[in-house]
Amino acid sequence: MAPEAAITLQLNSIDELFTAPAANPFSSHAVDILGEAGLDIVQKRALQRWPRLPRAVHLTVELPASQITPDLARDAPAAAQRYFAHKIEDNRLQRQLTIRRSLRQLLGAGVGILLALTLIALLLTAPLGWLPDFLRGVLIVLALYACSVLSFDAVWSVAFDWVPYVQENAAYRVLEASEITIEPTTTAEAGIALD
Amino acid sequence: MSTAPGNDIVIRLDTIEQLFNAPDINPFSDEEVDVLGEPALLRAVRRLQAHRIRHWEGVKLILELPPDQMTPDLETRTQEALSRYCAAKIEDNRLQIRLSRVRSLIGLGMVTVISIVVIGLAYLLFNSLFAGAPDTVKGIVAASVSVFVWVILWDPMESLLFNWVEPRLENNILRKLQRVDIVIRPKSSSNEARSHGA
Repeated sequence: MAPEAAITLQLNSIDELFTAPAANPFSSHAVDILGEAGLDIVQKRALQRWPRLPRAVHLTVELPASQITPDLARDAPAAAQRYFAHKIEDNRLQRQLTIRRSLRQLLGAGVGILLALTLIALLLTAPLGWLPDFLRGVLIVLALYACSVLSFDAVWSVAFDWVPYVQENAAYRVLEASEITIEPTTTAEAGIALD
Repeated sequence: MSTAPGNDIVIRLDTIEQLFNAPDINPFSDEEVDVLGEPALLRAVRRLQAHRIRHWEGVKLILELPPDQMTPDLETRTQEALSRYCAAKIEDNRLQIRLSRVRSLIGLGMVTVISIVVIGLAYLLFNSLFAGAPDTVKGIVAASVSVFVWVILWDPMESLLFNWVEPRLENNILRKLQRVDIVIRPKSSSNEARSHGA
């Protein structure tokens, strides 16, 4: 695990922590430059050296002083934790769905492969053995390709499609345990700082 | 967007925000940026990827805006904004390349393990169940395993070898755009612009 990371995020309003504003590179705030939600930026920063993740993240959200209320300072970190928890759950669900879909695909491919292998067996034995050798060769090769193509997508999907969800959840788990503080904006310039 | 005779890049906008943000799709408009509803800069980057500019020295990014949208310091501010946007996008693409590489390596590792298991099983079968099988059957099993292995290795290899190309090419263009001079001038009429190729 990488050492702890300190991230300072300057926002115009607390909504920008969860909802992406329109892109506005005239502003120096990180959320405005590409138009990304604050927590998405933080998640990407946490993932930067994946599979090495920071041990903990100290997130400082800087807001205009007029927007900071005692309630907000208490509620915003709780809302962020809730957001991370739901994201983790949603990703877990999506991963399960993806794996289930991949396995179903693999099962379908298995049936197709069995049919193709049966055809090959028939071509090699008595029932279709009377066909000319050239035609039998072509049909066998076609059946072999069908087996490979059928298995290809299914195997690839089982082996790979779950990875992005695992990556995201690894970052969200670190962020879920992170410390979030709300502070009044100090300077107009620094949009995001990483230690 | 068009590239004018001197290789300058000309983009016609209704507001400066359309350079970075997609407007609503409006095919009733004559303006390219409205018809497809895409951020003008991303469209320009795609065009520049398709029609390469070999010599970037002296190339200008000309933004045509309605006169009432122009302010005295807009050029300087847009230059800074463009540079900031390109820097952030380059960083984002770099992260995308890195994550895609790691994902592909994981996928490649997994399918390699699957391939080794399949080859191992085939070897065991050849030495046990198929030991007395005719050569034709052995040939078919060997060919099946071979085709299976190269087909399942194909996609992870492809993403490992090629997925980085697109964001890298985009970064090359963004790096060049970061350095071009921006000129903001009043918008000519659509007909006039068409006759000049914009």
